[in-house]
Amino acid sequence: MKAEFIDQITSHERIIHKVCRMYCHSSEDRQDLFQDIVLQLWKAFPKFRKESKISTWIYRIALNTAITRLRKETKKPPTQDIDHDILQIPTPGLLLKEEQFNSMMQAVDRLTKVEKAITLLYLEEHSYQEIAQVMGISESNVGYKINRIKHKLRNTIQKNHDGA
Amino acid sequence: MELDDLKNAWQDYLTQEKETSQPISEHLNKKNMNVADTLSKLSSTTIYWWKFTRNVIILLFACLMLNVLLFFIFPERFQNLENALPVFGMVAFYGLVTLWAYYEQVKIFDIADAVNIKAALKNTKERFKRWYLLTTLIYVIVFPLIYYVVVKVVLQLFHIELSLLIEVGISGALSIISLLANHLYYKSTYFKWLHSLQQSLEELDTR
Repeated sequence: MKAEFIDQITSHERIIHKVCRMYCHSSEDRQDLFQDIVLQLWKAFPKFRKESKISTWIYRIALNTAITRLRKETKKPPTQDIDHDILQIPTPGLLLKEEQFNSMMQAVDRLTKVEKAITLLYLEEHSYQEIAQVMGISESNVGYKINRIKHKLRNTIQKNHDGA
Repeated sequence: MELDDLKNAWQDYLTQEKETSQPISEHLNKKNMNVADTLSKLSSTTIYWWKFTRNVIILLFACLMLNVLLFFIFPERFQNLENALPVFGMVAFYGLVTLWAYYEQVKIFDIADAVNIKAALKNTKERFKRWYLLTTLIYVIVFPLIYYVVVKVVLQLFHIELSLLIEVGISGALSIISLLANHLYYKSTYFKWLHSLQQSLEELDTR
């Protein structure tokens, strides 16, 4: 079972990294969260019935862990504690400037834990139905929350732009 | 840039992360699948005390067993064993209660069985509240007993005689201080986290 688990999780490892990036600023914190998620996945693996996609299952466990875990509080304000690695990513596409991408990521960083989870699933092209299943809310509520997140991000970016 | 524009860029995001990280197998092997070693920082503190208490209890039981054994071999040298046994018994009982409390606390962080994020939040919050209430109630009973035994031992050690009322009073005061210190510790460490869970839960429920 261990070999099967490692095989399955390794092929979807990027999901865990994305969740860690979304919720943690420091490399050390990301490693801790990664470890916690792998542990929770391992514990849940025997109960995984393959009724849902493995990626959805990994997202569910990873986001559960990220949102509910008890972690050491950082004294620095989260908005000023953006990891420098984020600023060193390759230019993501021809039409998108790195500056815009970073600005958007900083705005995403200001979202609540729940909003971050919905944003992550939305960015990963999950359907409203899948997001609703993972979050435990109705599909209409998912739609409402996504609209609110878009509005919030737009406002944050606008404020940052005006303030600069 | 809008959220929908970010979707395209998002697919290229973290391309180098996987290459620099450890393989999953190493994460599993390193921690040897041991729950006690893999929880996040604050829960690791719990694990530390869990291990500490477990080792103290093992030591206490070993001492108790050794004394009982020696009593049977050299009964003339252990005339006061009947006085020592209740002390050992109480300390061992306290250790067992503490061990149970920490073990149950570790289980609070286990969210693997939750069907969705809302359920995980709700379960974690309810488990913690139930656990905190139960352990506080248990310690309300255990602390006065353990402190009474400790006070008795200390008084005997220094050949001091006090009335039962004063002994009970000292035990009660120490118990209140301990309970208060315990509450303040949890308030500073866990209550903020609990509030954050509650906020997330409310956020999911509202539209």
